[in-house]
Amino acid sequence: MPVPVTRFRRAIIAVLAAAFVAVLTSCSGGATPSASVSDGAGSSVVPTLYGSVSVPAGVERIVALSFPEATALVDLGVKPVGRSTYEPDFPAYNTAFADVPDVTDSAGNPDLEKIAALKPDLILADAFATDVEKFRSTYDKLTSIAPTVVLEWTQAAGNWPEEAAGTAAAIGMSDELDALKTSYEQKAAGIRSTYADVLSSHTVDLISGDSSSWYLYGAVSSHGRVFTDAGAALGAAAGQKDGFVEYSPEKIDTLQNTDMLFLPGDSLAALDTIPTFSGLTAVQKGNVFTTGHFFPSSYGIADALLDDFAAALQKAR
Amino acid sequence: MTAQRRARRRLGLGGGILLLVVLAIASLAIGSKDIPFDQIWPALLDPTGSDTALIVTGLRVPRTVLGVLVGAALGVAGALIQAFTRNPLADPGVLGVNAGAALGVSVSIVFLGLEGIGQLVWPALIGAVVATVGVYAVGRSGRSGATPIRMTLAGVGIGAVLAGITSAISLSNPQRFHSMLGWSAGTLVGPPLSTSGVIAPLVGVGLVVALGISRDLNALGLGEDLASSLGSRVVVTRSLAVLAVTLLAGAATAAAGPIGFIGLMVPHVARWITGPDQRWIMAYSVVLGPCVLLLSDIVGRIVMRPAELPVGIVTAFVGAPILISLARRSKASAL
Repeated sequence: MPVPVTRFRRAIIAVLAAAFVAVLTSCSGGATPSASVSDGAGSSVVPTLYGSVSVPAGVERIVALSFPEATALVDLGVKPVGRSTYEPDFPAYNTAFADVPDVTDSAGNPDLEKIAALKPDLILADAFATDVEKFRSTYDKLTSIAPTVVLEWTQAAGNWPEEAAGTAAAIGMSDELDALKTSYEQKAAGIRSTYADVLSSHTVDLISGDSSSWYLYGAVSSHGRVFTDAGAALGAAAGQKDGFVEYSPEKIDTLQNTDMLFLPGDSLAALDTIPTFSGLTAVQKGNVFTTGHFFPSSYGIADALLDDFAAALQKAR
Repeated sequence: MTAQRRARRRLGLGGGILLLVVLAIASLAIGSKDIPFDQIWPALLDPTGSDTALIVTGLRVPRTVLGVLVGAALGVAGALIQAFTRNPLADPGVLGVNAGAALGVSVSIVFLGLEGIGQLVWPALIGAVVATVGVYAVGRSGRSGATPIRMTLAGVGIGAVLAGITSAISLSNPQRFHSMLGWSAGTLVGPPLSTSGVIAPLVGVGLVVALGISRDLNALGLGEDLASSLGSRVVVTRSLAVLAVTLLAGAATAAAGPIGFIGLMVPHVARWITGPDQRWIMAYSVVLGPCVLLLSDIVGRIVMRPAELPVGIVTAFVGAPILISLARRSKASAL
């Protein structure tokens, strides 16, 4: 199962220690029963990794084989009829996906029989652009079941907004997604203005890892985008072109001059066992913050991450 | 045996010990962070807690000590299992040790909520012991008792079952396992010095048992009937061999994860140097195991800077070509 599985595995590697821990914040969209998501005005033509795909109006039964697409649907108030094994641990999504069947096998590959049995009228997935030919045969099988929209997945999920936009375009809900995007951008702009003083005097880095290795995330990562949207100036990761870079524990002093550190909750205890971690500037200043929304893949989680960032800036002020 | 050959073996062992000392020093001096060599010794004794001192004493010393212990344990465990099964391709995993340790770790993470190598050493060790006891119980059932072939079959079968259960558990809880990816690949980074303290007594007992039965393993190599007629206690020797492999491989896997090729490769190298005498093979394996492991760990620190390559991956890369090279030497693998 080519398409989603590879994306999924690479995602896990990419964020090695990123945690998807449920917290009390809510997302911007609620799940609703399966319903028509198009007004029937006509087909949507969506650019995908396999060329333009025509999606008929009024699709009702959508299978989402990748979590960015599945969570984007829920943000838009649409409940898929099938989903992948992995979905982010987030209250709104947990509720929405509770009774949605998993249509992947134990290894995360799409189960074509299960998918066909759901009689979908649209299948959504994502993949690395470099994997298009590798997974063409799977794509061909999926298209024999229903129109299949495969959107691009990039390292560290850095293009989740584009995946959300592609999902919305496929189901004719771009206007609704624009509303979510506007709300998100307004919240980010609010943080930039409210905490301008802290943002101008503090550098920020996003890390995860354990006692054997740690990862530094750049501005093009899924969470790097959110933090920089809110005005964060990255410290050690400034200018980093990759979504993430892996480091040895011996190189934890790369973060020596960073003023604020953000990391997933389950990384802190392990990183704290690195002997030189406690000497970092951010640790000394008490500016190490954990978040359960470390790896956003949707506007819902990104919105919650902005709240976490604002709370941290308030504390650091 | 000629006096010349004995002298050559002793000289070789001395050279191996000298190499181990050099590699241990290199392990303290070489890492992802460049630290001038003349600062290593002061860093070891530096009470001020500078970053340099913390890296040397807090990161490099623990992984070096662990590397010596794990390398010796895996090397000797490999020599034991190859002698016990009379199979030159056997490694400690044949008895299900690695699979048992991995299952112990998986169950502890998912059902007991344990995290970090410090908490998982004991579950891993218990898993290794339980798996080996299970293999031994299955292998010794029936009239013929625990013959090498029955033990091997039981080990491979039970190991496969345990590995399947571990896969099912980890696939159903992927997020919980991300912190154990390093352990799963086999690594010396992370476990504190206290981890070595936990496994040291087990490794010590295992080494003493292994060296103690090495003469009987020589007799066993002649065949069971001949060994019995020479006064060797075949059943006792087999049981002690299984006990020693469990202690050695179980402790090593619990602390550093499943590190392959050391247990397979080191006995071959030792046998190539010493010939088929198990006493010398064991002695050389005690020294060469840490040499290979420390060298692999040092390589892993510098080939992917600023990241590191887990030593379990390096041993596979280094070990496979060496093993193939040895296999092409007709005398290398004679048991």
